[in-house]
Amino acid sequence: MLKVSSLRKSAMLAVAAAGMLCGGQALAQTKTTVTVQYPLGFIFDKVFVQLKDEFEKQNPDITVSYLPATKEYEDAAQTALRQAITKQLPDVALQAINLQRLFVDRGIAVELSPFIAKEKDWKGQGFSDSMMALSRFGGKQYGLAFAASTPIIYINEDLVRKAGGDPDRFPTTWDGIFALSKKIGALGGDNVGLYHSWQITGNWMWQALVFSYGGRMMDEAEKNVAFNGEGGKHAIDLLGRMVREGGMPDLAQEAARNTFFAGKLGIWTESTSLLRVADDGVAGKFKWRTVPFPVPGPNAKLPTGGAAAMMFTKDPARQVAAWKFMKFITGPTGATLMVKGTGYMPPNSLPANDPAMLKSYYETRPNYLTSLSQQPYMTAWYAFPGENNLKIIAVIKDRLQSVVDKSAEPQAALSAMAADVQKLLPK
Amino acid sequence: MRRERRGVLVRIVRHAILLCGAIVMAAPFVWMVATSLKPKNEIFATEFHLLPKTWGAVENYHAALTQVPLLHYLFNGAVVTIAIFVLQVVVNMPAAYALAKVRFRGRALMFGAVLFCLLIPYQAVALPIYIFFAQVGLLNTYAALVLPFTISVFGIFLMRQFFVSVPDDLIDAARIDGISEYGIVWKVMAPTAIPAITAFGIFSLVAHWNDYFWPLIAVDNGRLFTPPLGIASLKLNGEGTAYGSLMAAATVVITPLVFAFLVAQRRFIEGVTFTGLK
Amino acid sequence: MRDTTLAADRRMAVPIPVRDWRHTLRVLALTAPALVLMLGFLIIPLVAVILLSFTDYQLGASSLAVIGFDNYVEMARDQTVRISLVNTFIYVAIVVPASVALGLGAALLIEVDASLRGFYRSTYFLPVMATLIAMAVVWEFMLDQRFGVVNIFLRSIGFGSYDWLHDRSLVLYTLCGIGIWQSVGFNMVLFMAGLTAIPRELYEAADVDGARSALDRFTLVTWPLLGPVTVFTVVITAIRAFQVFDTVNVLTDGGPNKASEVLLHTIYKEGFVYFRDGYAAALIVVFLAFILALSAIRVFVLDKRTRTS
Repeated sequence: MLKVSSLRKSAMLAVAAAGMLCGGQALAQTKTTVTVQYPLGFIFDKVFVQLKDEFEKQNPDITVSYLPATKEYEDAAQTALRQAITKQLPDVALQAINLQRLFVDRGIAVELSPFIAKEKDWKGQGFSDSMMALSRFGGKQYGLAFAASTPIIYINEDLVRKAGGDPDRFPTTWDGIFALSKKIGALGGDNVGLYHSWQITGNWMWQALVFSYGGRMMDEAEKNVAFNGEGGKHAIDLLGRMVREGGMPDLAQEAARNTFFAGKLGIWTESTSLLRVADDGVAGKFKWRTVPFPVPGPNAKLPTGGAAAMMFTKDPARQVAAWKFMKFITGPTGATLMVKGTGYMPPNSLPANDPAMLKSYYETRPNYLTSLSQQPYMTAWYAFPGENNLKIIAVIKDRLQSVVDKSAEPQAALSAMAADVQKLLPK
Repeated sequence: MRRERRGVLVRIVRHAILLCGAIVMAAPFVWMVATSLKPKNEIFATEFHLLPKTWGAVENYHAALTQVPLLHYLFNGAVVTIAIFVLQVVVNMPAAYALAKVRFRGRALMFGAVLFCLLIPYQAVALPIYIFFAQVGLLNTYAALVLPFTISVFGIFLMRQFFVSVPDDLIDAARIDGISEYGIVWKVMAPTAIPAITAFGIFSLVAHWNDYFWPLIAVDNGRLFTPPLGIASLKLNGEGTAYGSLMAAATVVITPLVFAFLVAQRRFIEGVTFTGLK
Repeated sequence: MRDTTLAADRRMAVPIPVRDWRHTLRVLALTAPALVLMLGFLIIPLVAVILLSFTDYQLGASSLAVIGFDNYVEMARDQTVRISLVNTFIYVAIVVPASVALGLGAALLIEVDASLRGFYRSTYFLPVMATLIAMAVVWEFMLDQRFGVVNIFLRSIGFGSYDWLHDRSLVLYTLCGIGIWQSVGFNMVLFMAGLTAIPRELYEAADVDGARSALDRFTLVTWPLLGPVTVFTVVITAIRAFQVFDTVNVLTDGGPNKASEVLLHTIYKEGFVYFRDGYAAALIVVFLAFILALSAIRVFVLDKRTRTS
């Protein structure tokens, strides 16, 4: 290391000053601190504050410290990869379910089986097999699923009724949806009929379209892209139709969100995770509800969104504290808090059936049931193999953009997408 | 071209044009300060109001200073830029002197190397330096922010040009007096080169205070952020619409520079001219 | 003893034996730190970048293989790189003439009369030294489609409002505007120095020769003598424009859809976000080539001038 004493002195002075300026939090000696990084601040901020309060009450010897929330799942992954290089990894990080494998492949995530082995009645705490399966790689456990979601549709009941539709009998096919969307757009007054959140993190909504037509991202052997097969062709065609027939504008995701909250967007596909945010955003300005995502098939599936908690710290003392925190937030209590504060589904199997937790909550909130009803279709959110995963996501997004802004024909964009992605896969 | 008496019309036209330009130049600064003083509802008004009707300054500045440790970032900026400048003088001035006044084998080669290195923009070599720092664990340290800039071929070149014009008699006298070559640098050359050093210093301090690219990649630990990183993180990670506190933060970050500039204007501009025209 | 110094060397009054080892030590004491650092932070990294461009290195990955010119081939086919280069060229092509011309204009106007000279000089120079990131954020707010003062002003005089930073057809030009705003003062100061260096006698001589109007004075005396300064300013502005990054990273992230993607930003993304360092190194080599070409222009033109004048 650098041995220039003047620099060292000034660095030490700086750190001491920083410590003083930061109120000496980091200098707490009697407690263990667990640093945690989570994404999607606008969804999770309040939830994590509650989780921290509850956890610290039950564990007075542990302090939880949050790093600034990253914007969304790709940022969370990029940040963590960079933190691995600059040796700034947090103790616990929430990563997208599909991006967990990045951290497994690079040896950044800590294997959790030793910790699980020490637990009594693991399954009895709600950590079911299906939940564990979401974070199992090569037979080993690397994460604890924290939140799960499926794509759903949010509809503005007032606009739908004005356009002559019936929210109780909302169309279940895309043709029906396009017809309705055209009528909503025709209402004028800058009302938008339809917006499909194709820009969402990890190409999740694109995978939703492909999977809903029975397509796959890659072939079984994971050597060649398969999204340019039948399923993909239908999917890209559909995206093109959304723009041409459904009148979908080229909006940024946040802008679309705000348009719905302002009451100007009739049909909005998004993740169930936004239920709580939508409640706050709409604030009673109009009536809205959620309906299931169309699944034309054959053999339709929907990608499971959401995040899992992973352990990054390799320090045994901190691992103990980190494990306690991870167990808490993905356990029944944590899951209940999480669901009530967002719209995600709980991977933990206990809360949904426990009246003291979520059973009665769900009964009075039908919007939450939409995603739950889609559980039979749930399949893994796909992550491409190899080192270029994040770049592949960006490349797919660019090609989808070219369809939405009409600078490319759908099928041409699909072929280009397949070629681009194939180049970035391991040879 | 400095006639003192111009026709009145010419003067008016000149002022009119220059004032329009001055408004465009100064507008962001004025608007930044004005917005930082306004409360949220006035910021999101759709009519034009320069001055705030109600005082929102306290919340804005409070938010700016507490959401992120802004004052600490200013401290980091100061530490880093001063360290860089001091080290630059220590490293580069003796070399400039050697190139100007000391005969040695390889002097032409070294000067050629300096001229060649002048052509290299630092972003081009940032990648290998980053990889190297990553491997030896130097990222996220003050050293990472300071070290790559301690070599300043620009400084060497500037100083050398200046030193070359210093009369040899001064140096010869010092040598006869028994002062070592190294001592000559500090005791003889430095005092005569104060204008050049000041010019270079201003150039260096401003350039590194405002530098964004290297700190962005070298550091991701919030405690080491320099002012530009602080503003960027406030903007990118915060709510997109918290303009009041964002403008307040920008004001806080700009103020030291503007203040220094207004106090030492002459020096600043001399510095740019000097370093620009070599 | 052999005289091993340059032909253009100056005379030295007290001759120091060139081969004396003590002398070598003294020279080393003076130059060693700079030499070591120059080697370590400039020359070796430069070579490293070139070598890296022929590999598939990814930071954090386990393998490193030499792949020859594959990176360059991929770059030639990469649509994003193509868009990035085009955007960068457009940016340079707009910012350089505009900020040089405006800088010259400002310098001329300010120098012409003494009234308020200091005030104008300071005001025009302020954007140059203000932290660009902070001012970029201010500009973003000023350019906001609904609440930005620019659009409020435009609406009040009858024009519509524009989405300066999110409209694909406008965003690059908006960034050009900010770039020009930031550079004018710098160029102005350089031109002012050049102007004051022009000897008064030349104007008087021109006057005597019959050059009466301001335009004559400009074309006969001012412009030719500003030649070197102009070339210098153009090249410096061009190099700085080529390095545009801050505004793109903070305001647009290259978007929407690559409309404001520029070379250095692409390099940043590939090298420091996706960690595809071999590929990024190849992009850096291209970047370097352009910068060197620009610098070469200056050397070439100025050299020619000094030889012909």
